Amino acid sequence: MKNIAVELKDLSFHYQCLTRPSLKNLNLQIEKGSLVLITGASGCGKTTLFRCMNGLVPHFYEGKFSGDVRLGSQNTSAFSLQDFGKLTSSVFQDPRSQFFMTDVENEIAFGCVNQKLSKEEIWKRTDAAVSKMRISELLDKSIFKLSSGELQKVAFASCYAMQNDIFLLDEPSANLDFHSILELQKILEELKNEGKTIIIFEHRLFYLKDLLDRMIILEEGVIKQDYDREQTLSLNDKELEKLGLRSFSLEKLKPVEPMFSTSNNQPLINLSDISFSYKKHGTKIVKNICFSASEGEVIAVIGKNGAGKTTLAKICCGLLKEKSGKIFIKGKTVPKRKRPGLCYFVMQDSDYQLFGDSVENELNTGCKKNHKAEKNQELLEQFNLWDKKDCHPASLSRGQKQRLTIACALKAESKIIFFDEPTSGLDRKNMLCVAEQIQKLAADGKCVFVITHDYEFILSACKRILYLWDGKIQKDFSLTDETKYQVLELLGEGGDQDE
Amino acid sequence: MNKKSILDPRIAAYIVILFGAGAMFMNKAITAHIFCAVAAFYLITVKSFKTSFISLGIYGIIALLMANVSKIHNTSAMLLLVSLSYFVQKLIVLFMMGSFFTHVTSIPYVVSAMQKIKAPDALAVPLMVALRFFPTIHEDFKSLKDSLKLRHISIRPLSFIIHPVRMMEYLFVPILMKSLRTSDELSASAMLRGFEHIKEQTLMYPLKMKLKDYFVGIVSTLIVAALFYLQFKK
Repeated sequence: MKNIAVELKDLSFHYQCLTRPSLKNLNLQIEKGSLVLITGASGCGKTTLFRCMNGLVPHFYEGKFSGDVRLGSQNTSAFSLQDFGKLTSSVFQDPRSQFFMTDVENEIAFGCVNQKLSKEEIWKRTDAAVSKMRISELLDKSIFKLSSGELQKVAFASCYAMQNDIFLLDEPSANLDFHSILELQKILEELKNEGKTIIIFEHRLFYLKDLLDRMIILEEGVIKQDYDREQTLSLNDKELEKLGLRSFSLEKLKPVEPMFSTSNNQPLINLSDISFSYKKHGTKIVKNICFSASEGEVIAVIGKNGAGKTTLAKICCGLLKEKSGKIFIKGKTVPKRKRPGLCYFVMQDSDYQLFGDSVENELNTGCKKNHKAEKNQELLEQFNLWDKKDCHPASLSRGQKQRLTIACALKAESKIIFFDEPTSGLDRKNMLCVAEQIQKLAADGKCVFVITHDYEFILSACKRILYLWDGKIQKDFSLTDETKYQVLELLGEGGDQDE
Repeated sequence: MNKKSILDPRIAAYIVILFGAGAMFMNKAITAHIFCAVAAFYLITVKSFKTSFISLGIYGIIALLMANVSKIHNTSAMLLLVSLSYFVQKLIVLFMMGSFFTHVTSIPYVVSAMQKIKAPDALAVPLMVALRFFPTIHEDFKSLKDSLKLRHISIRPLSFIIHPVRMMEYLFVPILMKSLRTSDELSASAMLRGFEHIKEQTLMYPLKMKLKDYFVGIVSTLIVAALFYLQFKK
């Protein structure tokens, strides 16, 4: 009993707003000092379990709660949220919305300040956390100027300063680029070596392969499988696929043959000597970029944070104006103001892209007056959204919102579509669904660009790689079984570049 | 980056409240214009040129419309325009002073000020959340602007006058939805890190009023007093 960090007894929880319980009679014991991976398909109850362990359920999210959560030797039934915070440290999926201060140093100190520790002790702990996470260069920066990887490190430092022994991480890799995931791996290794108990609720598995002691698979609120380390690592990719899980070994994956044939290879977009810099600091973000892409192509745009990927996409879509160079679409020069609509940008966060009061009206937003009801029906049926036509877009799930955004792009008759990180935080099944949709778009004569760090997705959907470095196209090659290692290598190249 | 405080947060808050409340009483065109000009000047002193000029520009357009409102013969349209313009004029001064506040102080100093004046949690906590939200809303607005451009929806100031309800729906509904989600996550994270009562925190930045603080406080009071005199003199 002494070595148990977290114990759940007959734990059930039913959110007030849902029709089914999210957790059903869960029993689980997690040993001190172990690193446990809790995984499963989207909606299996991972996040609810995370919330039960840190007290957010039932203290913050209301519903029908029963059972016991014990942390160490203490039963938490009489705990307040603050008491949970004295024993567990939580890192959320999107670090952007977990910061309370606007500068790094005070953010790290925030937890200690709330515990009313002495000023000397607070700064001592803050310094220790900063040196542990190696983020001294970030101390003077505003939280809003940090990249996702840097934000994640600050979130860890903030938890580390509180000196708790249990770390709970909810999809910590969802918003990280590939290099930052490798850095996260190092941080986890160090925490584990210090004897901390780490519980990770996650879809991406590859970076945990060398660290995990146990893997628990949830399905519809119950534990479906409970594997120790040996059993976990003996699972091959076919078995993982059957369980709906992503891969442990990226090296073994192969590029997937396209599901649809793309016969028409007419050049669609051509960039000639495109450069761009922001007025504020004058540094060139995009430098003399030249390339062309054809109908039916699915192109992965990869590169470090700040390499100019999003800026390039925004220029193509007419959201930013190039400083020099020309963009040709179907052989004709197209100025900035005419590009929105011809090229479409599907953002990572679909919440920013939906404005209508119903799913059907969303398709009419911004369109000329002559709406064709048949066209709307056809599009909504194509994306399995027809039965939701009267719902408010905000009430849709993330996947449904993304599909609606794509439908809007098709309604605008865009021929060139850019996607920004379409698979972050998705399980294997949903990731493959997105890959299929993107391939269908290509088969339909669209040219699709995907800004992504997701290697498994690249192999599942893309056929060509554009690698950006310091605002230039450093590499442009076809994805084959031979070149896949090069992609992995390029994704793993580290550090952020200053924009 | 934000660890400095140009003004004592107590004085900064006093000026914001003074100007925000004062602007509400200014019915005469001349006093309302001076109020806006002073708020813009305060922003310029903290080098927030862009916000200052944009706010002045919007205010200028509205003032021009208000000055020519008698030329509109449709009573309902005139009423709509006057009430909307009146509302926006007051809001602009508040927005400028809010922006001024975020430039002259930072959250840790505001926390210290709240502790020092023994502010109740009901006042201190929402104020801290609001300060944290200002930059987030700015980022959200930039992303929304891009999305609307892709849908061929213009967000020029004129669009707000021609289609006020539609523009409110396009801009404010998504920002509100996003803010609701962010505020939920933010509160959860803060409470888990022990944030509950502001009085039970360590005082990190002890505050002491300087000559500059007294000077700015007195000058601001005199300006508002003079404007009140102008407004209400017979």
